[in-house]
Amino acid sequence: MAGQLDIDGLFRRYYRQMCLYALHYVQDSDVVEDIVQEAFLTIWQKAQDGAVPLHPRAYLATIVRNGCIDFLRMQASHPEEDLPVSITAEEEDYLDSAEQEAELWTAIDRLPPGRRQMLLLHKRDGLSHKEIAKRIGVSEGTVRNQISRALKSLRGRSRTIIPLFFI
Amino acid sequence: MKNNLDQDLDFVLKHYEENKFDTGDAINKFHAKTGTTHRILIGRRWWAAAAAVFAAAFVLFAGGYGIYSLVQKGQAPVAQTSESHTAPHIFVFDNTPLADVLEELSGYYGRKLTAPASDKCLSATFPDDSLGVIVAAIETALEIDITIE
Repeated sequence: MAGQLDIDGLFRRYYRQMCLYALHYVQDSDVVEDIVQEAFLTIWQKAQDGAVPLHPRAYLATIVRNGCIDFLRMQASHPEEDLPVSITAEEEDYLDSAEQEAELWTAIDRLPPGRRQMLLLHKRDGLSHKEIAKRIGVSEGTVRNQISRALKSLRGRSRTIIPLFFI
Repeated sequence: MKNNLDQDLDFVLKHYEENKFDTGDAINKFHAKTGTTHRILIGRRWWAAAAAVFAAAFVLFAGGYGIYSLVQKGQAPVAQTSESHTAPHIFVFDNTPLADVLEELSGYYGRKLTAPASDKCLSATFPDDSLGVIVAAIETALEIDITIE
């Protein structure tokens, strides 16, 4: 066992957050997953040597950021070029946003399939309500209504969780 | 100017991919790579099982599961659906015209549902089971044929 490190717990708390954080640097989700997986492997190996970090989130974020920068450096036309070493204010914002972005990603996962499909066709793929209606075979009003409901539930997701436990 | 939530939502929607960044899959991959074992069962199956149990409890509490009644169109119809992304969706139709029922289900499942013109209404409560199961239940209750396109 790796010291006092609860690696499954760390995954549950931070895996998706770290993926969203990395996505601000590298826009390839497969690469992001590899970088984040390597970060968890690193923290686990350190823990096996008795070095359990006091602040695992910050520790993971540092490894993930370095992994992203290494990847970008390899991709750059001039690999010898130096990329920024110190964390900028904008990068601080990435980490702050990652927690909420991870929650939103989870909330989108849990949308009804049809509603999620319409939302993504509109917001991600840029289709109009009319084009979505034609593609799926429902009325334009239904598309508008479903997208509106999806956005409402995503924006209000934090307010709907607690009452459900008391139903 | 957009607030943080809208900015974060835009970012996530722009990059969202289904089945990506799945924590359960990542844990499985990690344990496969390191040769370690799971401390706690986690993953999609766990969530699916938990959701199924929650759905059953919710429906039983509502006291309406599995009860369908056929009534003629009379009072102003009401179509209600529960709004939650943390629990299975529950459809509640109260004297709702068939056309409205099909419209609601079409929107939810992203499949076009059609049936011969009818003034029949449906009163029913059921969770978001597979579309085929729901359609079969409505066909039986209303004695109609529904086509899934």
